[in-house]
Amino acid sequence: MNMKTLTLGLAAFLFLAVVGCDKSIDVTQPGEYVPSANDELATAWAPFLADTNALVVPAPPADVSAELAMVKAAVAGRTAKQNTAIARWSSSTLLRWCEISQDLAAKYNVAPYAERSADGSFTGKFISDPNKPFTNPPYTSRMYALLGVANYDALIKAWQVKFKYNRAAPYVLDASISPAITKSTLPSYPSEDAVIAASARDLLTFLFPLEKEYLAQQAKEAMDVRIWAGANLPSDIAAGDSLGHTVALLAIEYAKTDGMSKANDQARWKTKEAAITTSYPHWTSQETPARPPMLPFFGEVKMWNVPNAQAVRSSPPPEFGSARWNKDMDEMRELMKNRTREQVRIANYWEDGGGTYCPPGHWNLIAANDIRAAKFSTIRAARVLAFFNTAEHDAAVACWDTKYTYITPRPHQVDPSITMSAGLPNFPGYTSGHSNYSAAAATILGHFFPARAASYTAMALEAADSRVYSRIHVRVDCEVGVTQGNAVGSYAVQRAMKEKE
Amino acid sequence: MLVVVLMPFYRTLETRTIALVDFSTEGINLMRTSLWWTIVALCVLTATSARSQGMLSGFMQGSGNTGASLSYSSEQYSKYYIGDSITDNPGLGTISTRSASLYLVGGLTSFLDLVVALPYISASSSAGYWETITGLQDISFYLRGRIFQLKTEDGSSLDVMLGGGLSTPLSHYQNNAPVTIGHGSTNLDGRLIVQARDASTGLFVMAQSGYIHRSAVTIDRGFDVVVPDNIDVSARIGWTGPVYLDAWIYNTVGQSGTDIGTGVPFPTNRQNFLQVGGTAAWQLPFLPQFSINAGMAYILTAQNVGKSTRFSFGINYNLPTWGGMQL
Repeated sequence: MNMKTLTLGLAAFLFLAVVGCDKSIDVTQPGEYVPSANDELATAWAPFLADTNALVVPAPPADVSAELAMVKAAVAGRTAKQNTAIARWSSSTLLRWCEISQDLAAKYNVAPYAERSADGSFTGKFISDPNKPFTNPPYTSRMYALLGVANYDALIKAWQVKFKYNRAAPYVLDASISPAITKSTLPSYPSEDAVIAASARDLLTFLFPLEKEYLAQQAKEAMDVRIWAGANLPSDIAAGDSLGHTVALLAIEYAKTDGMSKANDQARWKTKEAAITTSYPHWTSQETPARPPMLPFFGEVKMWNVPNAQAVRSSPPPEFGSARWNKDMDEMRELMKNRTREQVRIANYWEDGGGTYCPPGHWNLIAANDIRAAKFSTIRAARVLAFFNTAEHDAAVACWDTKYTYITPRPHQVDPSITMSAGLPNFPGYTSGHSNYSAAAATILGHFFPARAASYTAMALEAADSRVYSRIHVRVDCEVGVTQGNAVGSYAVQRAMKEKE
Repeated sequence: MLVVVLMPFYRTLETRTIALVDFSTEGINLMRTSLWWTIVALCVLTATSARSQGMLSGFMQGSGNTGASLSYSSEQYSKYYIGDSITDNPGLGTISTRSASLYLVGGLTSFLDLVVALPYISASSSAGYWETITGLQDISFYLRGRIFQLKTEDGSSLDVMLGGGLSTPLSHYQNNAPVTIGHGSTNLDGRLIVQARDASTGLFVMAQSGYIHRSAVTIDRGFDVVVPDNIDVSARIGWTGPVYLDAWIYNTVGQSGTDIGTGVPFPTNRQNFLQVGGTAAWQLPFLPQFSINAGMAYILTAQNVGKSTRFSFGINYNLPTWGGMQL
């Protein structure tokens, strides 16, 4: 072995050593969320669930000396682990719970299991566990709306109580307490963080019973950090916990009777479908094995801002073989031949299919980012999420009503040579759900963030186009879906404009 | 000693594999005299869904010698592993991956080789509504250097080599779908290779281990996600007689990562597999600078990859020698 080979060997060894290094990814933390206003005017805002008005929150205890001593001890004895937890939750308890709901949506977004015989053949049965909801887009939009309403309604009551008693934060009551978060002039009784943690915990536990322990642990930490940080007294937390819990129960009562339990009545659907006559072949499942249509009666679920689905039902789709029909199918075939990488990216960017938080979850992410940038008060942020998510729920109801009124086939069913890079949803085409969700989102978010309105509209149109690019929808599904979504979103805007914001 | 050995250089890519050919001759004089018998080796390997796996042969190319290879491979699976459980998806049926690959292997000096590989891949499913994905995948560059050699008078030898490689996507292909041609990561590969060969019988054994580091990738959904690193260990036994024959076993283990979740493969999936295979190569009698090869590979057990079988064929050409670099 000569010197050259030895040198080469050393160089290669060094290369190996470098390659073998541990790798890590920097995850950007949003940092502390410091609201720019207290928004006392929110005490006059109307809750979505009228029963919230009647709730009574007891007055805060007058003697807080023992509680202050507890907070002082907690602050003094804080551990590194507790500091990490404080950083996690001070990035916004509200938005953190929004993220938790998105995580659960993605985790449970799995279609019911197709049962098989011992020989591997399908029995035609689909096994769903009642404790494991299938967080498909309609289900998920309803979940986000219920969460948004529960949080918002509980916070309205909390704001009323806050400005009624005007109890100061512990670091104001005792100047020797140095909080781990930015000081706030917002009255601290009851704790808005505890309100959100309790309402989110209980509502999400109702929807995802298997997550009870996880949600309880998250809520406990969200409340505990307020004490560790010197930001709230234990009585602030207890009152918030109680209020959030009570409002969550009201939201759960609403959910039990909103029509969701009847939305998947397949026997009734068979009868209804038999009576529908169309010029085109009825939609059929393109999955293997074929699945029953997803939630054929979701169009009858109660809406939040629109009187009923008929008020925003789309006109009938083009007739089979009409000029418009043929033009749209020709576009699908053209996209089989020629599709740019950018069109593919757009198709994938907005897909939000199985195993994800669905299109309403994607828009929740957009909304959360803009809320963060605007530094809205917690209640104004909750208002945005409530109005926006009820609009998403309404868009799902409107869209599903239209889908199961006209039951149009997907492009692949009409022409099997049309294939996809994205998952094909198991329900009729007209109108496009993505277009509905996105247009409704753009309309209502544009109301809250006027400077972003044009950008939202552009995003919504891109999301609508994405379904054409992925060859999952013909263009008319998306064009009409955008119109329908805009109409649904306008109802939410009209409701919001009734109040001084 | 008329030992001219060509060995396979293997590389596996996500859901498909690429076979690398790696010609080696030992001593340019042999080529000049046309007394040489060649060997070639070639190809094979594969994998289904385990992203790029490295595997260099234990035969050096020889200063100034260059080989080129064109190979075709076909890999199929209908069952795949989610974590440790094997399953199938009737909505996808059988996933087939076909690839055509070009390889160049050159001996820069007597102790340093350069390998370049370029695959074109097409992946499709037999059932359901999924589109076929085709495109240029990742280009690879490898350097292999001999750091130690023991040689007996009869030409038997023990060689120790280090290999280092870089692979990176040539096209912006989709990397997050049930049917894809790769994960789109840029990979760094470092490995140690030990080979012993007995000159009297032509038998050899090789063992190697490598670490493949993969960059995070941006998926079309707009997120950057981590692609796990892998450590592999492999062994090969073969014969460099009038024909070339080998059999090998390869095991790779992801160093981090997730199981396939909710039925959807994802670039973060930890991909492990144990695979066996074999290769045969023949020199063409009337065109001694050409050889052909065939190979197959089979996954015995795995996590988060398809249980695939792969066949490959290639034609190899030894270019005229150019003398090598003078160091």
